Amino acid sequence: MWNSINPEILARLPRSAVNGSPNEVHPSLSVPKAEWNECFEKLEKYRSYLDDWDGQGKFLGKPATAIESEIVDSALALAKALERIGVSAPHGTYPGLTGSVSFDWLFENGDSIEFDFVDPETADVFFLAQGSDIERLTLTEAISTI
Amino acid sequence: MKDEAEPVSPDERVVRLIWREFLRPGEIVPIQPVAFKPRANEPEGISVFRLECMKDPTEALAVMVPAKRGGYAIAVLAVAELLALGLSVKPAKIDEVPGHALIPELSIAAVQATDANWKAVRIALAQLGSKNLIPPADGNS
Repeated sequence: MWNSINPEILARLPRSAVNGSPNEVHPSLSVPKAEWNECFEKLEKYRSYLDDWDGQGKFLGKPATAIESEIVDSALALAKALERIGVSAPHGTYPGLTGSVSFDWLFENGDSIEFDFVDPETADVFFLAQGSDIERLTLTEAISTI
Repeated sequence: MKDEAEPVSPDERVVRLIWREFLRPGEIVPIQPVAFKPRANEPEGISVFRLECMKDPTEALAVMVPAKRGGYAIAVLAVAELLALGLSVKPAKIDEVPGHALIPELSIAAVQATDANWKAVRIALAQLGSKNLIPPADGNS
């Protein structure tokens, strides 16, 4: 799973130096620094998120959608692949109300990068830069290149 | 208190309930934009509550199951600021809490069709909501 990652996306992700600090390509990662284990642990926790995991179903009639294990598997696989190649851990990892899972990186200048796993084989990648239109790329296993 | 049958006026404020996992404690903007993303079952827009129709903001928590109420932060937003973003607030009465309303522009259909466009709006809402935020009673984690 995720044996190859679109190089256009990969080139834009922040990297960790040996001592854990951001490299010169992305010198302005926002603090506090995150750890990959935190991301992995949160993703594992989301396997237990059934319908109405946030409690809005009973009275408001708007339950959050259960998170399927296949989506967690997919996000975990990509997260571990990114860790192996030296990408910095994301700042945030969170469940989606529609059954997705996401993680993102924040930069001190307000820019951010977000991965949103909408199904087991697809991640929407959003690049948000201050003063620019939001850029969206889709990462799929089928069309990813080495 | 204002009658919830009255139209929403620009000088009102609304409450948005924010699940604790959509918060980044310690950040300048603690609310994550995803907190304003519609659910699969929100064809008519996301829910807010008119502050002027309630005794206090915490009254909105009554729509949640009791075990989850302490996990919600409460963001207070000015209707005028929502209007400035091109959004609107429409009354949508429910039995449990007075002042329930919807932001119809943020429906699941609209967002699925052009999500990248709406992401900028959600970022703006997160910034506005973060200015007046009551943290969850049970903490942030």
